[in-house]
Amino acid sequence: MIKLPLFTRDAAESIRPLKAIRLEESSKERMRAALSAYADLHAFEAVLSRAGAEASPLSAFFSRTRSLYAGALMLTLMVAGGTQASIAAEGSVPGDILYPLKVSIVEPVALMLSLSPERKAELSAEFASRRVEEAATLASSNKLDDSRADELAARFDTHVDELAKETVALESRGELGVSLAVRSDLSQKVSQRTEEIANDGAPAAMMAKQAAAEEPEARFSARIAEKSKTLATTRERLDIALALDASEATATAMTFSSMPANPAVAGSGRFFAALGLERATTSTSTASTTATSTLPQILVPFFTAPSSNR
Amino acid sequence: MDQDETKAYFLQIYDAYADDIFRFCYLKVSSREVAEDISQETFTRFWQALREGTVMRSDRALLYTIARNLVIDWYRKKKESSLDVLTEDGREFAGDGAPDVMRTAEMEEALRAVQTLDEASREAVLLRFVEGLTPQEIGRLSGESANVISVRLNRAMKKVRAFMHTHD
Repeated sequence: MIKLPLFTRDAAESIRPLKAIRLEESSKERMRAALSAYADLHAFEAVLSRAGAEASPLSAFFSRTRSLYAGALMLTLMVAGGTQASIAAEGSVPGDILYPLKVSIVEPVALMLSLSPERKAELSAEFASRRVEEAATLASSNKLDDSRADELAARFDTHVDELAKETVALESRGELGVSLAVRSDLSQKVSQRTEEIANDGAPAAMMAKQAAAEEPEARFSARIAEKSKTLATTRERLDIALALDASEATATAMTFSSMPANPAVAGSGRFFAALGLERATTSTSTASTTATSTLPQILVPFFTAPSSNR
Repeated sequence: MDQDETKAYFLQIYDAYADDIFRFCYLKVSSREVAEDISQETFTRFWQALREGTVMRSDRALLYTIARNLVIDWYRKKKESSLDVLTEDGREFAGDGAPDVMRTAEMEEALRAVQTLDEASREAVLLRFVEGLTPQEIGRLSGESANVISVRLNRAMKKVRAFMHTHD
């Protein structure tokens, strides 16, 4: 072999022959055919039409109006609308007049206005934990009936799906750490609250409640727990991806420390990294600290949104 | 984009990157069969990402990210050392077109050189000098900064050079 001078480029030159590794032509053809068939089987349009049907209540509203002007008018109203009612809507629970405003307008708009997948994931996590909070509020005043429990659980599912969608985008950019933090944080909060809801919804009726799984509190908790499992599974996958080697764990900590706006995430991120990413018992409310402060104070005073657009 | 356009685009991406993704996997799992499986799965997931309208910085980066995660999954299931088996049968990794003896020898030498590196360095070196990714792109893949990657590459190439010298 020719003697190599001491330059990186030449050392690199010595590695480049590996480029000759290729798929065998027959394998390449076979895979191409298989993928082509797969693409036909899982057609593109199917998702598009489904996406239309499952779009957010807000975009559903926009498409129903079928008029740019109506949309523009609505936006104007939303921007012009006072902040009083939207603050009131913030604390509303199912059954309140302002509740549809919160879940059909304020939250979707906040989601729509946030640009980065990080923010969208954080918001989705925040909204999901709000649904659990609302269930807790209702339960504590004995107002959590079957239909409300189901509605909240359904909304929770939607938020978690949304969260999953955004974290896929994050993961595709290699930001596994961020994705992991958001998920861990949410499942942490949710598991705490659902336990509380199941146990101390109404202290007097507690004994009876534990026996009867048909109670809305118990059913709600069960459904939330079920959905939260998807968080846990994905988290496990991310844990493994991140714990692959020590240098990557360090990298996670670096990813977090590069997010100065969110010190809570940085803290828990390092904590996860240090623990080999086991669940943290002292998890802090990362998503909520940032999400609520940036939630646009927008609303339409005279517009009552449909409570469900499914 | 409709189904036909998207599919045409998808197959175009496949034609452009199938070999790269296969090589990336092959050098990590050292089995042609497994690497083919993982490559196919990578493109399958890429199609899913296209369907779901996943926002991506670049198609190529997404492909490497998916492939990398699948390799990690595979290793989790089956723990085996990667390149040792491979060098023993130099002819196996050359692909079709029967490369000449000189080329095979060069490849074996290159494999031995990268084998002296730890996993993270090897990945960085292969992505940088065989696949031609930038340190930024590599960093994004592993969740590290471009700086960390550059430093790692420098150290690794020092090792490779030393290896090449002792084997001249």
